[in-house]
Amino acid sequence: MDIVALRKLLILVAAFLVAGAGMLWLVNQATTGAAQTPQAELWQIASLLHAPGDTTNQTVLSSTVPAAWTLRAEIAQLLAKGENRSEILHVIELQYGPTVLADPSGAGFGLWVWVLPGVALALGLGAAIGYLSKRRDAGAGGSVQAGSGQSELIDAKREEWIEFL
Amino acid sequence: MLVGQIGQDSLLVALLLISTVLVLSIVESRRPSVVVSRYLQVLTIAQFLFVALASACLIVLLVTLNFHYQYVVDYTSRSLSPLYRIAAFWGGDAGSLLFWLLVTSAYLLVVRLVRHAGSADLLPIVSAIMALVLLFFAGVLNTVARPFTTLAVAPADGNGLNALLQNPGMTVHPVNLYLGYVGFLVPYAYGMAALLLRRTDALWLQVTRRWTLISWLFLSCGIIYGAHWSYEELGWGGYWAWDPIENAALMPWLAATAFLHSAMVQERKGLLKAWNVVLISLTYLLTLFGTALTRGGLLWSIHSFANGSLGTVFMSFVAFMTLFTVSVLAWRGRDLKGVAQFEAVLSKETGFLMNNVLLIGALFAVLWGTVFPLVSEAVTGSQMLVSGPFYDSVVLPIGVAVIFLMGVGPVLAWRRTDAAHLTAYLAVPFAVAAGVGVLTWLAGYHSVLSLFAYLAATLVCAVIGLEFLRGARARAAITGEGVLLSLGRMIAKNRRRYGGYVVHLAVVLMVIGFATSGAYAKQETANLEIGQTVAIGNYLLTFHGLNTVDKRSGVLLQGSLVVQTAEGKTIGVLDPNVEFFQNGQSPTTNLGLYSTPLADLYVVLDGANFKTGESLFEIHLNPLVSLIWWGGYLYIAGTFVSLWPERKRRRQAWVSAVTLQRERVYKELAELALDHGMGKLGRSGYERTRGQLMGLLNAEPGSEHDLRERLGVQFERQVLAMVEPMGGGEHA
Repeated sequence: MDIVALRKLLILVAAFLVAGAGMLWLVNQATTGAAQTPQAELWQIASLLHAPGDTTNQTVLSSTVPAAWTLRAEIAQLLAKGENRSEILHVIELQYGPTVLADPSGAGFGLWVWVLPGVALALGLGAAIGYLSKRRDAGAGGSVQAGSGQSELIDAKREEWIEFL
Repeated sequence: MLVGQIGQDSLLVALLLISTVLVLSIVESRRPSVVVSRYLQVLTIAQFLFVALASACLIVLLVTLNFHYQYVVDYTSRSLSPLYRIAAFWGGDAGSLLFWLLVTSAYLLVVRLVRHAGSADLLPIVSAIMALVLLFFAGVLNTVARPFTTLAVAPADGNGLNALLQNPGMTVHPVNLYLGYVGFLVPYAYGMAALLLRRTDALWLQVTRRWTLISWLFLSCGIIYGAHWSYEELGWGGYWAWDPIENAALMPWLAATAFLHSAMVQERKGLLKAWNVVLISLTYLLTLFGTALTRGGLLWSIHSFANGSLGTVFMSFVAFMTLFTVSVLAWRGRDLKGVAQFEAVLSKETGFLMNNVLLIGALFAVLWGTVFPLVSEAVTGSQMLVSGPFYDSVVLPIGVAVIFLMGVGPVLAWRRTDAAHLTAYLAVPFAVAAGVGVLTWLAGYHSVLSLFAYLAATLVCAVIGLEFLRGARARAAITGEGVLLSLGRMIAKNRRRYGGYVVHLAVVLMVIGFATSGAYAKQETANLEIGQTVAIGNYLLTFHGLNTVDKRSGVLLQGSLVVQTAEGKTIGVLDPNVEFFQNGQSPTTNLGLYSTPLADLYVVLDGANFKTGESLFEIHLNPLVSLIWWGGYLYIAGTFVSLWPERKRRRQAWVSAVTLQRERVYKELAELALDHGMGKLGRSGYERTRGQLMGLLNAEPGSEHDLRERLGVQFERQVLAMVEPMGGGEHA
């Protein structure tokens, strides 16, 4: 492969990634600390909780069981008192136990649910790269040019392959 | 009672016939014989007819409300409309299993009756595997899940179908899912048969390509229609809740999508042989696992309408099939080792490999999240729930990466791609995507994941647009035809490729719908007195009061809201309601929906005070949801383009293998010329690959002769093997 061309491609990909990262930074700057409306913050917190007694895995945001209504009202009260998201989640977890969280926390056995998909993906990528390097045709880099006899053959076969175009 | 008895007896006869098909298929696989083959055809037709008869009997019992039968009592009632009485066929455990049996037996019938040019030797093992699966379902229906169980005393009325299932979706969503789930049995059986017979070339992939694509289409339609149903019926404002049963349908879809892409690598290059067998096996085993989840009651779900108790039976079957598959893979694994190699890192083959890594990574995350409650309970003693936020954080970023890859993939050429040309080709699409990203951010849309989804979606659209445009121009330059004519002929002659691009565009439409409605939906809870108004987005909703409507099944409590724009223009009236049932079923909500291409106004009546008339409404403004459904239609259209058979030249079967090989090289040459003309490949890369392909054509005359001889010997052997059991053995 042409080294210069590969370098250009890598520069393009890197530039795109840098632009993406820059955009992320800008977005974070724009949104961190930005005042959410109490209603929007309520829905955000509700989406992180699971109503006790709800036998589905719907969050408090969308659950229709009575406990979900109670929790939404409690969140609204705590927001009105001026408490922030982590404080509210802490209070509710203390009150209802860890199963009120919609997803396991990143501690104890619950950590596994978060870690394993990343590990699996990394292993998959590693295996694919290993497979690629193992099955890479080392001899394929050489130039195979059409000789003079082949050129005639190419012209002779043109009518055949053009049918498939 | 006669109809039920006929149904029950038919199931028993079907069980016996299926057992015979299984035994004879095994016999046929050991000693191919025309006589056995004919017997098998007749038996396959007979088992289908008896299964169909049993199914017809159950439908008759349901439609005529014969309450002497437990199943009819459980899933119908006098107030149920005839359409839903028929739909009750697949509404419960036993009925849905019978429907599964019916579809599988129909598929076996089709497999046995269609022509099998070049793959006839695989048929006995394929039949045996399919009969084995049929035997399991027929066995379950004759023992633990009998649909024709009678009651000593018939009640006056039945329990009725769950109210959530009384939706037109009930006639479409489960049927599509079953057709998809069961369909994957065919490529799986072919994959296993090819492995057992050591025919690990791409033949089984070519034979089953349409089966796989059709099954994938049915499954996709089932998933999309299920999301639509959930959106319109469940009343929580969304369409996808990462519920275990939704995940159960998504997992085989992810595996099948990976398989559809990696199969192309084997067909073209002979690579990923083992991986393809693993993928199709995974797809089929996941459909069984999904059924175990749906019908087994293993996990709580909003979809567990049947409250099934067949978990142990199904999980045992899943374990058996997994063991069988793993054993075959281990036994014949050595035959899957290919000699083909990747020619360059930068190639379409690598793109497909990365696509597979990401799709299977997403599949693993969904599987892990789905089973984690069970795993955590087994390990810690308490069940840890896993809900939407986990999947949103883990699966969606992988999904966005897949979409990015979807943008780069079409530009990669088979065998090798020139980095310089790839850079030049992608510069404009990347610039357009970045521009759209900046504009989106400047417009105030700051959800990071959505922003990346828009970038990826724009990249895909730009690249596909260029593919059509540059492809038509390049073809016109080679053939001398006009650009428009070239565009039409290029699509017609490469339906698989361009149909695939249409499917990619459909996915992009859906992704934009998901990203926008997921990140920018608005939600309000309003407790309104009569005459009060609430504002959401550009809409004003004024409450006009409550009223009740008597229905056959119960009473409807309905709230009326007049919808106006912020400028005061009246749009209409929404009547969200709650339905109360006479038979004691839990009340259900029916939403009020005003749908436009840009946004859906979605209102749910949550509660009401009858004395004051004060009512509680949940109001959602969901932007661009309609793109998801329109994307679904485009998806179907694209798959049909891919499925539509390409015109083939008439050829003699005798030399078909040689002709096919030659045509494959010509097709590659044509595609190569097109890629070069489109600017994906430089002169040197083009000439190098062209030289390799011409080398293959040069070597052909000798191989044609060899092949004729080899086919001749093979043909003679097959004829002898058939003649032998008919008394011709002494001549052999």
